[in-house]
Parts: sequence; structure tokens; C-alpha cells
Amino acid sequence: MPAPLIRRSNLLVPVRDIQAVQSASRSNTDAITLDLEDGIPEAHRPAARRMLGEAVTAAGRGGAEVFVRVNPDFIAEELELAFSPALTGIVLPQVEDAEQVLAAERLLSELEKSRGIARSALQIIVLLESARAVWRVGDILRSSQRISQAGLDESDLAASMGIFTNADCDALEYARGRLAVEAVAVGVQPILLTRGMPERVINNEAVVPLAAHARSLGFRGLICPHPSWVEPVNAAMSPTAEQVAYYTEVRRVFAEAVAAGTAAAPLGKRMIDVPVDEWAAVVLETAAACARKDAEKKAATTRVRD
Amino acid sequence: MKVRRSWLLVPLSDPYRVAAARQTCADVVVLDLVELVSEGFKPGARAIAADAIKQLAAEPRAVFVQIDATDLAADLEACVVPGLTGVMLSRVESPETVRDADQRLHRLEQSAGLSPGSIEIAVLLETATGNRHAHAIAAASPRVTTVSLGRADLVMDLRPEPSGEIHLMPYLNQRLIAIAHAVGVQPVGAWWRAPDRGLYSSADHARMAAVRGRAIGYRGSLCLLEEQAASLNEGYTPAPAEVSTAIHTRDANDASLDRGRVRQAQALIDWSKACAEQDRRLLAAAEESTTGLGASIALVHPTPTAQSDKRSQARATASTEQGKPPVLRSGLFMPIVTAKFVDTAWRRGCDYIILDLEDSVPAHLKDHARTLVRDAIPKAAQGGSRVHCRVNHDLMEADTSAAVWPGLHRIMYPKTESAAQVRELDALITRLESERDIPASSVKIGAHPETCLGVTHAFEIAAASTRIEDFAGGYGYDMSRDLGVEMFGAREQFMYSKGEVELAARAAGLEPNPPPLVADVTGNVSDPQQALKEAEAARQCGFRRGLALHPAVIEQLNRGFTPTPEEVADAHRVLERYPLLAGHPVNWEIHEGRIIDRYETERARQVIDWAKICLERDAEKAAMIAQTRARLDSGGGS
Repeated sequence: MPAPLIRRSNLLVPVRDIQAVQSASRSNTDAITLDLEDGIPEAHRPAARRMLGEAVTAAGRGGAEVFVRVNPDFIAEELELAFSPALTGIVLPQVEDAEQVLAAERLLSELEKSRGIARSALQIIVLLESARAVWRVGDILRSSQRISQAGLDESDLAASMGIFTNADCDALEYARGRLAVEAVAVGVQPILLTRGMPERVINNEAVVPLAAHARSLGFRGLICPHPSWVEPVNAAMSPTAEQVAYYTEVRRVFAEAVAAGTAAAPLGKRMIDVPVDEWAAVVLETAAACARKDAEKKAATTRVRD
Repeated sequence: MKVRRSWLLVPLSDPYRVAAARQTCADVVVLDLVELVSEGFKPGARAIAADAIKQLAAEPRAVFVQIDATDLAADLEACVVPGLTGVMLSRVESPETVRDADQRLHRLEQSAGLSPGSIEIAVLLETATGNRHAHAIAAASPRVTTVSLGRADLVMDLRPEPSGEIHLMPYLNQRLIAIAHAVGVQPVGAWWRAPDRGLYSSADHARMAAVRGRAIGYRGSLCLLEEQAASLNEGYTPAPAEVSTAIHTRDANDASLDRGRVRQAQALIDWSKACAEQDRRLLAAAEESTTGLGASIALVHPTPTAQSDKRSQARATASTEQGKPPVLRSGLFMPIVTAKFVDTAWRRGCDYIILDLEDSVPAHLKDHARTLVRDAIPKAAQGGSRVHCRVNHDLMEADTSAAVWPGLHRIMYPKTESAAQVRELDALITRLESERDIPASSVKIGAHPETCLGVTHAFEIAAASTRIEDFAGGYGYDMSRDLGVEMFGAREQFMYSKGEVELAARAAGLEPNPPPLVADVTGNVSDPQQALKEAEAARQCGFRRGLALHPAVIEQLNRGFTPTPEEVADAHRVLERYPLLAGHPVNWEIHEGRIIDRYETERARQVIDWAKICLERDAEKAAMIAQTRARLDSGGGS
């Protein structure tokens, strides 16, 4: 089993304030996305672009992967400015068809060639923000091997369908389900860009259920609008100690049953058989990978401090 | 921005209703030639269509005529006149139907002196097949401005419904809305949860339905009664408090708000303004119509001609063609390597038994397990149960070769991921049938997409072989593992995957057997009371098939999937009442608080038929079990 990609939290930071970028790098987030798009008014984008080089380097200091959310019309220029060994890839917003991905793909290939780095080293995270994108998600995700994650921007999707989201009614179950299933089918991780709470005050209590819910639908990560989201998201997206204990027991019971000549064994009121044991192995492997990721970030932060 | 919140259906066969529609507050009047008009009254109704359109066509109201996609020519001929906004095509199943209507409209527009392309098309997707092709249908012509799910017909196509909403509706609604926005047409709601069922619901329920509809992306709904139209207008128009919240959100200039939220707020404000403008124009038009009543519609009663209801006829033919449906209320998985379970399985009263070579058999015993199937088949069958065998996906060829023997009814093929895999299995079974003296095509296939990849190919897989008699999946332990989630997590975690698989099954004419969407599924496999509850809930959702991992729940599954005597008695009352409506221009009534119409009648017939064959099946199994017991007691051996 290949080690799973662990990118639970991806903190969105507008490239305007180098101090915000530095504090993001200390937030224990798995990834940082430097935002040149929606988070920055258009008039300020040229200035923000000039800060990119410094920001990418600063963002990577805590061991987080670094992405840049580009403007679809300025990808070439923004990529040139963002390029650094610390850059993991780009977040491509407003994707509606495979053509847009292929255009970005060509620019990334050229950049890799001109800078002499490995082919297909740079990744793409696509953001789907409209009903058109949701309908065509399969074509979009199959268009490039670089796509490691695909995110649903829930607010923009709702706006594009004329929905004013409210807590009483969930109108996006179909869109979320479609993305999760189509993404997993082609080996891409589904993630969410969701807020669900318009208030400025952001606290853990609100984020934990949001992230846990996303996880239970198959999403592997959240794009975080604020550093306070990082810890609760990391926690919600990692197997709990109780799960690790339970699935360790599942694996033990199953192994015993197999030794006794059956692959179906009761545990409590449930029946343990092959797919349950397989899932147990996935949970334990994911827990180990999360722990490795956290250790890596800790080591990187310690190096910076020293 | 067009504001079409309420679409009031008016039977063209009822001149009083048509005349009254001139004072309606509905944004759209739909003159109906299909649903509410008894078949014999249609020619008469067509004759007054042009006159009715002229009378009703007053800005800002839109006038549509609902016509039958299977009988386009005559209906279109009758209604393409100046004043017509568009036609509503019912029962659309393919983009060709839309293209056909498009071309006919083009010709009729020319001869009526209308500008080309001015007549709109609204499509009703009233079958699983229509919904399967929803995107292609909506995109088939630029005339298509509106898509809707249709109503009772869709429910009947998916499964007659004892009560309330059908479980697939949240999926179908959200799917339709996503597709509509992907193509750029307006989605219109048609069916909602209400104690008094769908379009017959009270004004209050209509308003609640509109509020909920608006929250998921609808901007209008079909309705049948004037007071419902008023309620829909109200519910689809944002309340003042919502508008002020939206204005506050838009103008707060709060950096912590995402831009999408601001866009949502702006869209709500724009919609609210458009609604206010529409209401102003409706009021002005109403004043004008009362002060300046000119010519009135001739109150000519259409007279009936002798014709029968084509739809009911088509459905009746289809159901006799299919013959008696198999009774598969209770299926029990048997680990084939556990002899004590297999030997006693026939006593359990199962409708079917699944000899399992897959998940309950450890890897090192797979070869041994295969040698056990041939003898286990007659043993399992001696209590009257059908016998199926679940093979391993990765060992399909060896397992199937070991299982296709006389008496085997079906190969259950788990984790199906492509149509090619099913065709391979089909070819193998064909060969084994001929080699082993088994009647050709008698061994069926159960195909089960249980991974994300399988779900993405659901429609192709369901149509891959005529042997497929069961198609279910998109949930369960394998699906959870593949999707990477805990089983029994969020309630809607399989809403999409189950919806895709079930729609694919229905569109292929198959009866799926997913478990119901009940909140308290806990993974407990041996609680009889819970099993009964779940089976009853599943039957209320229109399912007839159940599965078990433990013999303790078999009796409850058999009972839960069989209609109760009370339901059967109620069905008989509906059947007695409906024929009394014959000869009336409008073909439904509310009798003693209960709706009597052709849908209820059809449903009643199915309840009665199903109850009857369930009881026959129970008697058959009881006789076989008694027979086998007697034989064993007299030392006949097993």
C-alpha cells in the first residue's frame, strides 16, 4: 500500500502581508496556499505578484507544502514569479472544463523544462466553483496526472446556482457526493473550501463539526481561511486514538478468525469480514502517515528556530 | 430576469377553470392537454386551445400548453398561435424528442407568422430514462428554457409510493438543479413532501415547499390550485428579513467573509427586486382585466369521444409482459465453508440463499470452498429458497465455473467496475450452461458497483447484459473503504453513489434493492425488531428486496416487505371508487379525504398483486419445508 498523501489543512493566505505569511508557516498547517486571486482586490494584485518570490520561501519554512492560487488569465507571469524549489504547485480556480487544465499543464511543463527540474514535479489543485464544473468533473480530473486534489468552492457554487446558503437546508449534497466519488475513482483526493459561518469570530467549536462532517463524506482536507482552523482541521481529518485502538482490535480478531478457518467473525454486534479488515489497515496506515507528517513539520520548525 | 414562481396547471377540458384562470395570480398558466384531461375529451380540448391562449395571454403572465411528447403533431398544431409563450413537453426521454418538437415548432411558427425560435420549450422528465438523459435533453435545443421533474408519473415510474416523498427525490432534485445550471436553463420543482401528497397539498404546504425549493435552487414550482399559486409566489419571494440580511452581508465589507457569500447575497437581492416588479405588473394586469373585460371564452364543453387512457394501457401491457415479479424479500448470506450453517439453511424460510465464496471465506480456503458449491446448491434449495452464489471479483472465472450447476439461479458479481467485466461473465455463463445441460439464459447476474470507479460506470454496467436481474451498490463496507470513510457516518454519505446506481437500475428497467435511508443503521446484524423496522421503511420507499447476514431476522424481512391486510383493504377501496370518475372531463377527486386518481389506482393494483404473490410464495416455501422435514423424519437422508 503506497503511503497516503496527507494534506489535511491548506491555509489560504493573501500575498500582501509577509508577516501573515510567516505566521502561517508557524501554524502547523500541512500546506499553505498563497492567494493572488479572490482574496486580493484586483488593483493590489500587481504589487502582490512582486512579493511572490519572498513569500514562497517564507511559507515553506515550517515544513508546509506551498501552493499559489493563480489568476487563470495571468498564470504564465505568476508562475515565473512564484518559481522556487519550495513551490509544490498551483491552485487553479474557476475550472469548468478540461481545456483550462491542459492550458495550465502546458505552462507548468515549459517552466519545468526551462528551470531544469523533474517533469511533472509541480502539482495542480483544481477548484470547482460552478454547476458546469460539477457536471464535467470526470473529464476535468482525468485531464492531467498532476492533479493531486480537487476542491469544491461551496460559496461560489451556491452563488452560481442562485442559492443563498443557510444552515437549515443543505443544497450541495449532490455536488459534494459527485466530486468525492469521481475524484476517488481516478485517484485524486477530494477537498472542500467551505465556510458555513459568515461571522468574523472563528472558533474551534464551529470548525470541528464542519471538518468532521467533510471527512465523513470522503473529503481528505479543507482549505482554511484563517490560521485558527488549522489545528481543529488536522485533528478532524486524522484517525482518533479510539479509532486506532478499535481497528487494531479488528485486525487481531480477524486474523484469529482466519486462522480458525472463517473470514466472518463477530465483534460486538457487528460482523468483521474482509472489507472491514481492509478498512482497518487503511485507518492504521493513515494514522501512521499523519504522525509522520506532524513529525516532519515539527522538525522543520525546530530547524528554523535553531 | 424572468420571474416564474408559480406554474398553474389548468385542464383545457374544463372551460370554467380556463375562464377563471384569467384572474389568477400565477406567473405562468399551463393549459393542460395531458395529465388532467380524460382521454376522450382531448379533441374537444384542442379545439378551444387557440381561443383560450388568446384570452389568457396578457403580460406579464406566460402561457404554456402541456402536450404529450408521444403525440406531438396534433397538440402542437392546436396551440401554436400568437400569445403562446411555450410548450411543456411531458414524458420526454431523449434529446431526439426535443429536436423533433423544435423542428415542428419552426414550421408552425412560420405559418403562424411568429418570429422563428420565439416559442419556448419546457421539458418534464417523468421517467428514470428521461432523468438519465437530463443533460442531453436540456441542451438539445436553445428553445429549452425550463426543466422539471414531472410529478406523479415519475413516482410511478420509479416505484408506486405508499406515502410521502420518495427517497430518491433529494438526489433527483439536486441533480436536476445542477444540470439545469450547467446548461443555463431554469429548474422548476414539481414534487414535495406533504402529508396530503404533492400537487394536491394545502396552501401552507405549498408555501413551505416553495421556501425549501428556493433554498436548494428552484425558482418556481408546478401547482394545481389557485391558492397554491399564491403560496408559491409568496414562498419563492424572499421575505423582507432575508433581504435585509443579504443587504447587510453585501455591504458589511467584512474581510472575513468570502466573496462567494457576497455574490450569493447580491443574487438574492436581484431576485427579490425582480419578484417585486413581477408582483407590481401582476397587480396592474389584474386591475385591467376586471375593468376591461372584453370578449369571453365561449363556454363550450368539450364532449367525450370513445378512447381509452393510453398511458394506463401502456403500463398494463408492460406489467403483463414482465410476468410475475420474483419474490426476494429475504436473502441470507452463507459462508460456504461453514458446514453447520449451510446444512441448516433450508429451514430458515429465506426467499433466497447466497452461498458465499467471497468476503466470508479466508484467502487460504478459497480453493477448498469452490469444491463445496455443487453439492450445497440442492441442499440449500430443499426449503424452497432460490440459490445464488457470490463469487470473488478477482477469481470470477474459477468461482463461476465452480458454481454454475443445475439449481443455481444467479451469480452475484461484487465490485463490478465496468461493462466489459459483465460481458466476460455473461460469456462464461453461456458456455457453462451449454456444457452442463442447463437451460440457456436461465442463470442470472447480480451486478454490484461497490467502488467509486464502478459508480462512475453505473449506467453502462446496468445495460451490459440481459442476464442482469439485480443491480445495486454504491454503499456498504466495500464502498466505504474505497471512498475512504467510516460506515455509518454521515446520513447522506452515500446519497450520490446510491442515487447514481439506483437511477441507472431504474433506467435499465431493473429493480434495485438498496437498504432504506434510515438514520439508525448501526451495523447490528441480528436484531429482529430493527430488521422489521428497516424492512417496513424500505417498502414505504418502494423497495421489495432485503438481505441479511444473520438468520434471526429472516422472518421479519419477509413480513416487513409484505403489504399489511389494512393496506390491501385500502387498495380495494380505491379500485372500487376510480371507475365512478369515468365520463367526467377531469379525472381525479378527493373522496373521504383520500385522493382517487389513476396513479392511486395503479398503485392500489400493484399493492394487491404484490401481497398476493408474497402469500403464494410463503405457502410454497412452507410446503417444501414440511415435505423435506417429513422425508428426513422418515429417514430419507438430506
